[in-house]
Amino acid sequence: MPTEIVAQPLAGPVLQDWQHLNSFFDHPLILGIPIWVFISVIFLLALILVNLSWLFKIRKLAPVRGYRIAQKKATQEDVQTWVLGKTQKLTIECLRYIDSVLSYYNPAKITRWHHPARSSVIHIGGIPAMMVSDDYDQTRDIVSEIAICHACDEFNKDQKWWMGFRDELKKNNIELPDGMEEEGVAKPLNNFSDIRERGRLLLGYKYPEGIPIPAYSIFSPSKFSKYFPKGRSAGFLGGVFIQKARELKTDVKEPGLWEKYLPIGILFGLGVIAILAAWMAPVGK
Amino acid sequence: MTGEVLFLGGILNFTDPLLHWQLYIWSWIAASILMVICWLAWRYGPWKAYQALHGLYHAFKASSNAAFTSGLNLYFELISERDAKCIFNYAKSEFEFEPSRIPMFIRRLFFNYATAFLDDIGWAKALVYKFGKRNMDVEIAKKLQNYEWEESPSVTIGGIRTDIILDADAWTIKNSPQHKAIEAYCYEWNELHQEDQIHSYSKLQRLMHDGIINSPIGVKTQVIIPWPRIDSAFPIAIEDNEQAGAYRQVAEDMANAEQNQLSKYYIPILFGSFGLAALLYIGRLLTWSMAHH
Repeated sequence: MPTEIVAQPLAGPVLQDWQHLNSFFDHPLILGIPIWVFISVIFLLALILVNLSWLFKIRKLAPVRGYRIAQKKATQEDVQTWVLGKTQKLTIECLRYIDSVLSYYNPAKITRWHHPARSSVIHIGGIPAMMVSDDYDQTRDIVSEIAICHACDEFNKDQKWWMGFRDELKKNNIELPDGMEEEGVAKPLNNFSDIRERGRLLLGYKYPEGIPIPAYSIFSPSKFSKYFPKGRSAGFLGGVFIQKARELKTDVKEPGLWEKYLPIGILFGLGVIAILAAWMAPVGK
Repeated sequence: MTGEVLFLGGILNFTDPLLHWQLYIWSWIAASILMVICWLAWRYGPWKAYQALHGLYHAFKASSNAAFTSGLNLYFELISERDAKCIFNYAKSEFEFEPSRIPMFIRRLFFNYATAFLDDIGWAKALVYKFGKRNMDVEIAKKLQNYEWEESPSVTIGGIRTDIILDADAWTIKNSPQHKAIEAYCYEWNELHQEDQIHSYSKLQRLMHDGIINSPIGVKTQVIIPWPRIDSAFPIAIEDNEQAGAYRQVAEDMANAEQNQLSKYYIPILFGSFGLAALLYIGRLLTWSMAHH
């Protein structure tokens, strides 16, 4: 009688060479999924979490990205710039500095600032930078601005000094310059033309060595704006630049026809040769 | 387990010949190493590069303002509002605990110093702030100073209100003799004037300026800014020739921009034609091989 052979399913999965089960990690936990899968998911999530948390931290510093760009470039032309807007936003950007003028690399942004003084260069993390705002065409020195605001405020309040100064001039038979007085009191210093016409002179008399300022001051970007010259925004300066540059451009030598079209002609010729060679090259026998 | 199929066909159940560890265990080790590498790369790469500006992130985390502070030389540092405006570090105050059965070290572990000054912090908030390391010194100083707090129209950086502060005499540097003198002076003042306490540098400055109090020994009330600095930073008239070089550069840029109009086609022509030639040749090869096999 022939022996009947019945195939029995194997007890446990079929393992290949070098495949082994771990008595704990390969134990099915839920829906037949082994424990190691859950542990692997935890590791994967932790890895993602580590990277996402750092990415989040770095993204918080996005408004000051220009600091890093300027740090990386670090040529004479690249300057880290703090841009204060009328919207009170402060961003740090990397601008181009040429011959005392700051501008954006993007030619579509015409805004420009004149940089008049070394003393207004600020430093952050050892890197020099400039501070500018859209409503004034000069780089800004907060120390000088605090000084002017403080001196003008003190001058406007302090009529006693004015009386003494006027009496001193009279005593020495020195005539008081026109437009300095209004009904016996000093005309206040409230704007740029006040400072230009009489303020600089008077403040020079009042503070011959320099302007004393509080040792601790909270700077207000908008407080000084009343002393900005009217109509001297950074955008306006940019417009003047473009206008003057257009006049100067006529001096720049125009390239000749060959100079203009030769490089593109050579490249075009090379391209045609390559295509013809590909078309005509043998591919087999 | 009868007739069971291994997860992913058992591809991660292969073991190494030496330790006989499964591939998934090795993948955990690899993931752990990768995590450490990623952490170090972020920490010492982009994060360290912004070291001077970390105050912005810390201010965001503490839900407070930030402050750019500088001396007369305009070397700026971004620090928290607490460091820039508050005279005292309230966490260092000495606190007395009422007798209780709970061991002192546990009480100290869960104690948030801000609750000793502020009434409106519940226990849950206090715990969150304690373990979330939120500094409450600004709120405390505001309250103790009867909300007399100088807030000038500041700037905003990435949603964080930031003050720009000139500290010409190192008041905000906590190890400076000036700061120590101010701290000691204000502590004594506050003991005697409970209703009119001084907790911020700006209030101290104002009272000294108005002559209400004397300046502490070794602390300057004011500094002098010389005229040459002011005149050069705020010129009343600008000579046209100061900007002449920049005008010329813009003119050159304009001319070059026109001249370089064609140069933007160089790369597309070069790569385009060589790419087309390569495709053409591959196409011919394929056609030939299909015809002969």
